[in-house]
Amino acid sequence: MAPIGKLYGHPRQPQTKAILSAAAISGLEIDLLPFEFGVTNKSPEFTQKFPLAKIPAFEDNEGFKLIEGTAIARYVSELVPDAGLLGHNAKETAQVDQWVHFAETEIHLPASNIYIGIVMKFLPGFNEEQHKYYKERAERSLKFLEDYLASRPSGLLVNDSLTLADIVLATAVQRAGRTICGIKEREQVYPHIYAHFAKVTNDERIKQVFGEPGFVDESVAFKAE
Amino acid sequence: MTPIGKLYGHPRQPQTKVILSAAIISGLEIDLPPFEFGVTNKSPEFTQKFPLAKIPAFEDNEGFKLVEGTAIARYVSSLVPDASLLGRNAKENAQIDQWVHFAETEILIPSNNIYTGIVMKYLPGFSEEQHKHYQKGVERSLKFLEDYLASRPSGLLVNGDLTLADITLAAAVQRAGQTVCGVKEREQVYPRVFAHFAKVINDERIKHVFGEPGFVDEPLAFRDE
Repeated sequence: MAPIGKLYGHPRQPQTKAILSAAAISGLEIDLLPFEFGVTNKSPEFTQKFPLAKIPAFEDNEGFKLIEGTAIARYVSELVPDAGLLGHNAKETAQVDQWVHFAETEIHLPASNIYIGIVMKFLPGFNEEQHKYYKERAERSLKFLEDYLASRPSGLLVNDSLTLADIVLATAVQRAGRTICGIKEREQVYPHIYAHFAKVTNDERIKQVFGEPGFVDESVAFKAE
Repeated sequence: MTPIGKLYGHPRQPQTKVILSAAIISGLEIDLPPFEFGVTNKSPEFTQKFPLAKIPAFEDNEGFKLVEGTAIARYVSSLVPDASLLGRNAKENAQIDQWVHFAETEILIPSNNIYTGIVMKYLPGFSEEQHKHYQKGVERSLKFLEDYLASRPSGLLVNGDLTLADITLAAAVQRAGQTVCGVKEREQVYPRVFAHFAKVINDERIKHVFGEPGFVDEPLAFRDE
């Protein structure tokens, strides 16, 4: 099969995982080029095509270029409508968009701020007050999600088959499991969310994209330097 | 004309403005019931329909519900394809998604963090270091956008007509003009970005939705409390 194009991304980046998963479910191949932070994204070859110099970045075989992970994932997802990644009708598509946005802004963003702040030590001015703020925000959203998933017979977000929403949520929940959600949270507080994560990441087609969960035993604590 | 449904939102909220604009350009009407922060979003009537209790939130005449501003705006934009808010083909569609996501994550969110931190005093742990971090992020993104718009004969983002991307960007740029972009920045550093803003909000159909820009003369400075 000919790859549909090139993806500049990192295999451990959540957005890259979502795009590769969407391609795999659609039966499409994307070329994931080797990427080294600080080298590839500063190379003239890359910055000429993508002046914002961020990843993921996509270029198809005709030179059509896209940036912004969710836009790339959505574009890939609609190339093969029969794969059902965007639902089966306009309302389901809107619900997929809703859950993708929710996953990104309500779970991934606060969990990532904590990850970048504590684990990576790369968020200037990150402090205990903020850690608490983002953690509370994520917990409020996780509770809402837990209640919603408890009401879903299929255990999936929109209908009975895997959609882009389920994939993106799994990447966000993976980040939450590396920061805010320890064993106790995953097993006792948000069991439906982590059952959803297991369901998505155990799908044979995309298992290798997600790799090891890398979860923490206990919720990451703030440490002043 | 019958409204297509109810939108719970606030007329000054960027996401609400985008949805209302998308409806108007599409020739559709949406009901915007009165909304009072701390009252409406805590009422049982609202929280039963929308347990996350955030705005905007949409319900159509058949009870179909959606949350997440960009998802609602995209759904509304899809109802009248001839209005071309989502472009004319799959690639333009994807470019619109790209610019919507860029506008939200690269301009609106960091500008909002500064707005919420300084103007609203409501971002715990917000510090001068962080203000600088977010401001730099916005400036990097605005530079990229300025260079891109310089290459666009129409002065619009995707094709020759107004799309959802232009509307969403205008709402984000409005927030940038209320925080990080003073007179000098708007006139000398990012003239095309603000020419785009003017072009969008001067469209007779949506002028009243955007209201007064509320721009600052000078970028907001961080002040210790």
